[in-house]
Amino acid sequence: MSEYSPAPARLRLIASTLLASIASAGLVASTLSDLQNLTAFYLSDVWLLPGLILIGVLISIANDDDVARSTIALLIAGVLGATLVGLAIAAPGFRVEGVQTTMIDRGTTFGLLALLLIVLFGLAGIVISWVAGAFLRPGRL
Amino acid sequence: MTFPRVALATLGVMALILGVNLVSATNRFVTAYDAFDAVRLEMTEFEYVGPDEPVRTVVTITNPTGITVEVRAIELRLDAGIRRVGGGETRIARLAPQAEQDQFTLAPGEAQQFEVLLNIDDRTYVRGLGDVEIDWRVTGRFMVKLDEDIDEEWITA
Repeated sequence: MSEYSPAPARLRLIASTLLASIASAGLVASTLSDLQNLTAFYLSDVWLLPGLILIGVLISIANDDDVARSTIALLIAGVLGATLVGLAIAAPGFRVEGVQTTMIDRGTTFGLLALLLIVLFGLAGIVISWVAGAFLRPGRL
Repeated sequence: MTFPRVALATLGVMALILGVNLVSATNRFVTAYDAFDAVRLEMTEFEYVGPDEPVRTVVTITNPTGITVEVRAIELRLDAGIRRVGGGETRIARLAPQAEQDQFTLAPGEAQQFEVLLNIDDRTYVRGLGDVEIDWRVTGRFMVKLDEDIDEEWITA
């Protein structure tokens, strides 16, 4: 039986949540039609879903395949990531009065879409990681 | 190094690369909209001869931003009072000589004048107005492009 130490586990939960939120927001923003051509590194649309699933897998591994902690981390990362995506899309609306309503509305829509994508495909990643863990390390079940 | 630490490190690398993408894209997105908001079009000349002749107009487009702006097209509509009677346009794609095409690229702080001929379609109406002073109104829009990565944008003048 592995030794359980709550402090590093909590730190990993916080770190994985913050890193996953930035990574998922960046991934979604890099594949949105509005921002895709403006990114520093071009990323094709096909990487969006595998990327979000990979983030879910990594959250799960970072939290010792603990489904409850991984899911909490993913949900918080989803909310933070979606907020970042929404703010990125709405950003011109905070500077240019003429597009304020349009861009904030667009930011809200894409933020909600990002929330669904990050949470749903991240959960798929957590499930994949958990099932793989069950096969590779059956003693943990 | 344990699996959780490897996973965290991978997440960190992804966050770094994709975070740079997020910040750079947002920054360029805001800069583009700032530029679209700052570029101005104003009419400097309007010359009406008669209903059978096109109206000659000259518009000035000013680029007060710090980036180069390419004007792709100018579309103007001509109203006599409340009735639309014609219009005209200038498009860079239709200009053959390179010298004329270069004129459409505005350097930071540059202002450029463009001649746009407006054809009168509803000649009967304009002729019917006779010798009274006509309340001409010119409205329109122009298309600008900032760089190859950003889609062209119509700006209403």
